[in-house]
Amino acid sequence: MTVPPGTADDPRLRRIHDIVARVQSGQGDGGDSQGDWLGDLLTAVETLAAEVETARAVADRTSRWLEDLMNVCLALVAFDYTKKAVISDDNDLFDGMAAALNMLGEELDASTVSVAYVDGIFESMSDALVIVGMDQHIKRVNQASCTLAGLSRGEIVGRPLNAIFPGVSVSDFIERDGAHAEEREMCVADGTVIPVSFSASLLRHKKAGAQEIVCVARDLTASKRAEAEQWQLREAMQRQAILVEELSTPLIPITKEVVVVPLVGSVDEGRAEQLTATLLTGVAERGARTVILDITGIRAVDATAVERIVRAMHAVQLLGARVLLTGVRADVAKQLVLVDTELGIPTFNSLQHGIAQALRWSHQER
Amino acid sequence: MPETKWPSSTGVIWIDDALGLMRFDYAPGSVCTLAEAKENVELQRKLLDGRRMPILINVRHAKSVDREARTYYASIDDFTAMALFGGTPVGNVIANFFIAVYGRRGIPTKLFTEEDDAIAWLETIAR
Repeated sequence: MTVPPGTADDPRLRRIHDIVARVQSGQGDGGDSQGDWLGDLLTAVETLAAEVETARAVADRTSRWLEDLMNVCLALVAFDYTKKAVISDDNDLFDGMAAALNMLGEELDASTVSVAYVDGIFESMSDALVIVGMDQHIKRVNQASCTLAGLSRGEIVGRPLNAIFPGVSVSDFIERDGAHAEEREMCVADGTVIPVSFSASLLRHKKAGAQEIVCVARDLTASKRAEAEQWQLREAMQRQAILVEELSTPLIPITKEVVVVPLVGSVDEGRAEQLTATLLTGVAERGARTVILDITGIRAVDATAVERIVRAMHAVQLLGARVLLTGVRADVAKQLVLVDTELGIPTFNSLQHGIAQALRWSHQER
Repeated sequence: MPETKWPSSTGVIWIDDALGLMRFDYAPGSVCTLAEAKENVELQRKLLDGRRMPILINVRHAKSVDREARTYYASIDDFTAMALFGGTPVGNVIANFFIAVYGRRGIPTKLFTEEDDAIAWLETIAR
């Protein structure tokens, strides 16, 4: 008798039952279900469906987790340590992996200097930085180098180092283990050269030894200009000092035989020497017979200054000329007495009286 | 007498007088930053009251302990030994990172997946 298809006696249904039972039990055969095997089949299919749905949900979740973890890995590779993986409350293996990636990112962030950070330092330096290979060609420059040279990066990179810094040599730097603050020249865009302070150090890689040279150049133009200005100022001041010196101890002839030397200001050692020289010159060159030393304009007088003045006057006397001291104030008189009680030099309290006396002497001697 | 347990924002701390050690259990899903770490240490020090003893830290249910917190914990010198009780995926990661980065700082530190093993080890350290 033929079994109508789709009915409970359909052997295909039985076969389906056996397959489902086998899948569920994981055994070689589906077991031998007696009784309501169609009911068993329905239950088994429903259970299997639930399992498949659960498996699909797990696969979906797994896929999302893996994508999230992959994104974090890619971020770490790009030195982006801010991206964090999501950790659920399930505390399963995925959560463990997420926690591990997050903590790894934290440790890397704390211990790794990013390329962007180093690049930032390189570009922000105000001195020109030039990296040169062992082949003497420039490999990298910072913005300050371009600004100083007036050239673009493309115009500098690839050129020999001595095209920008004439006379420098990589082999020389290697031999000397670098260079420090040497004054050199740098060729700039308009064809001129500018003075720079040039330093070079060897960049060594752990195993391979010196690989590159790091050169630093600082523009000395402004400091050279300042130096030159300072030099000019110093020269001007020196000239001025000489002029002041010359004006400070003038020799004023009254007659052929009488000269007046007015002293103004203070009398230090240098001034005293100058005074002596002026007096002696006046006597020797002019043939003056009387020298009037007027100290009206001298500031506060101490014993040392008075001594110097007295020595100068004695020097004049040795040449056979007479010396008169005028403009003697009370404080000077006090010091004079302490210094030289036997002065032997006529003193007058005013230049007028001194000149009058000198002229009387001249008249008497004619 | 039952021990008094002191709660913090990330767990609970108490002294097990019978075993002679301090215990700290991270609460499920707890996220520990530097602020929480400081809170925990302050509470621990209050309980220690100047004493030094081993500590058993249950990290099984913690969700995260960030780097600032880990660094802060590693700077604390209040304990003679530290046993980390893990055994869950996240707990093991937290414990292993701590030991890998700070494990050589002078205080014996070890990870266990069984609480009894952790206690036994701390007892040998204490002897």
